[in-house]
Amino acid sequence: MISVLNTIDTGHEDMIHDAELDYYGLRLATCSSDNTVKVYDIKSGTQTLAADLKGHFGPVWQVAWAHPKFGNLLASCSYDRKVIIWKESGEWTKLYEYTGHESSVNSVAWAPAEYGLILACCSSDGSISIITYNQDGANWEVKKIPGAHAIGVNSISWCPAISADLSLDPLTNRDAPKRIVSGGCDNLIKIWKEQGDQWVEENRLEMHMDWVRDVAWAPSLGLQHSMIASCSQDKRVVIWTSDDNVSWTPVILNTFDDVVWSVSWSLTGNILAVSGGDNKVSLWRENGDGQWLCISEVAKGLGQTPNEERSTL
Amino acid sequence: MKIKELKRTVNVSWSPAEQYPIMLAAGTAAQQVDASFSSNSSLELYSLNLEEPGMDLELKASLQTQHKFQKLVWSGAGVVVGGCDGGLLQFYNAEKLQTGSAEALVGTSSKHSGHVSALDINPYQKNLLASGASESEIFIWDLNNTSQPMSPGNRNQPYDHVQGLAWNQQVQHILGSTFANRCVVWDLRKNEPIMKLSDAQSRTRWRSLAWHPAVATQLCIASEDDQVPVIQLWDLRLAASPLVTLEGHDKGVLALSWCRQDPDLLLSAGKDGRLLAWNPNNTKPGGEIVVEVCQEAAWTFDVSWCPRCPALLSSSSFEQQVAVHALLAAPQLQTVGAPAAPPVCCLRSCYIDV
Repeated sequence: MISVLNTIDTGHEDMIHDAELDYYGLRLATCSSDNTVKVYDIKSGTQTLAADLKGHFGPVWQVAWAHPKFGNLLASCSYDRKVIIWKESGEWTKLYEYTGHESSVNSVAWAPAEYGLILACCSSDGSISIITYNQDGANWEVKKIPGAHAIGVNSISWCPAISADLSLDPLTNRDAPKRIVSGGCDNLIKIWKEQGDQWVEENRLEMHMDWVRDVAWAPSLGLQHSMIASCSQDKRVVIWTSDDNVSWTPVILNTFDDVVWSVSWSLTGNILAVSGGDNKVSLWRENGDGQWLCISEVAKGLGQTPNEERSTL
Repeated sequence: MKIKELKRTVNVSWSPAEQYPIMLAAGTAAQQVDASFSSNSSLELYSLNLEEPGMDLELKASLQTQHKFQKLVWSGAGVVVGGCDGGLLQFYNAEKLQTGSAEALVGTSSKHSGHVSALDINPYQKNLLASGASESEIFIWDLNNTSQPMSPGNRNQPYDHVQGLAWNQQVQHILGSTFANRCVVWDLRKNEPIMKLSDAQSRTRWRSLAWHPAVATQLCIASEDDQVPVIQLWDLRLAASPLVTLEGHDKGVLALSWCRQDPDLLLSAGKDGRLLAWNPNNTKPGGEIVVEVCQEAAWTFDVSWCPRCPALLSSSSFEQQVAVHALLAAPQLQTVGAPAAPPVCCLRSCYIDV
């Protein structure tokens, strides 16, 4: 049974592109075409505006909370080509501003905390940047993957730190190579692996017939089984599964009535939330036979613009 | 940012929005010679090949043709139409072209006089083609039966070469045509012209036109005169003078393309080799340039948005080059004050509905 817990009037003056709950579910960050990022304290149904962060010169597409062990850090990316990492210590300030992309930065994603403080971001200039915080030098190092997708990269997601690689001893997972999955305007999904100090293309997944708008690597359940969800303007959501991170099998979850903008996994229980242009958010779960069933649907009656929600349940 | 290029002397047309994967039809250009002075002509289909890095398009099919082409259009009805010299029109079946069949040429017509350089497919009735040539000849063809074309009315006097033709994007029976010193708008139901635009103030020599994708009464016309290299936005409801004159080219403007999915993006290309993207809805004097896509040395005579993927555009220049550019990767023009708003395809509220 799905019910709406809370509705928040953010005071944003334009379309809201992303909304993210922090690790504890106590704060909500939202970002909008009005160039701002807002942070709310939400507790038992009430909300108070904790910060109104101004620093971008164009629509802000996505926000991402870092793991709390690094402090209160929030990353945002925008059409103005910048990625800003904000830090709260009493007040919110800009910790770091990355301007290495030549056009709109479409997505940011923090790496699993086990790898350290690392942020991946992708851009319409076709490249992906991996920004790592170097504890020793207290500076940020950048590695770029140029020409990742022709025309542009729309989304990236990290592989969870617990690896499905059969050849590794589960106790030494720290040595498993880092992997990210990216979706682009060339209709492709690519998996990248860190090899030495370079990132190489490990796999190329072809199935979609239009721009891939979102990719999401499912959190690990400790099983040797990887899952990636992807959604596209071709109205389909595809689930890719692998037992060795080398060969992937696609299954079409569903063909929707409209463009699908966003897919998001729950932290436990492997439920996938899907939202799209038909103004609906639907939840899907795999049953014992490998079939994906819709376990609920929430129709958005309010407003006409599609509301993309990425919430951790 | 240029992502693909084709080093041929060709005229190109994008595949229609219904066609997947995206392709470019390229026909050997008439009235142009390449380095080998070859008189062979062909019609080729290239696939966009985005999956491969590198600048090459992938050749999918090639057909030897008897004539070179002034203009190509690819209709959603599955027909590729080529306008040639000598009043000739060639009709090709798109599917047979793709399979490489020798019977791809399904029809031909020589009803026109002079070279046929103006072609346009009706956005609502994909089987309706408008073609224009010399002597003010404009014909409307039904691609299902090309034996007997109709005309939108009596030939407009004085008899001139038809520079450009464009169907209205909102009202399907309205057709715009440009001659050097006037623009005539035809109503096909009444079979006569309903409007004639002429600019008495300046010495414009009109070449290309493009209708507003969302407002039925507005259109842009470009002048190829080097003294007056402007694009004018006209509203037929106030037809005494243009709403705004877009100034930015140094020499005459040869081609226009208005993005169907995003009315705030109009492309223009001209003899100064510049490819500019404008926001024609900003009526401040001089107009608003959103971004300069590129600058070539040679004249750029054709520019076109990709119907299926609104972030891509093609440009053809006399330096033997066709280039495919990706708009979102272009460096943004930093205007003082508010930066340009992102194109609609960024804003997630635009997609192709086929």
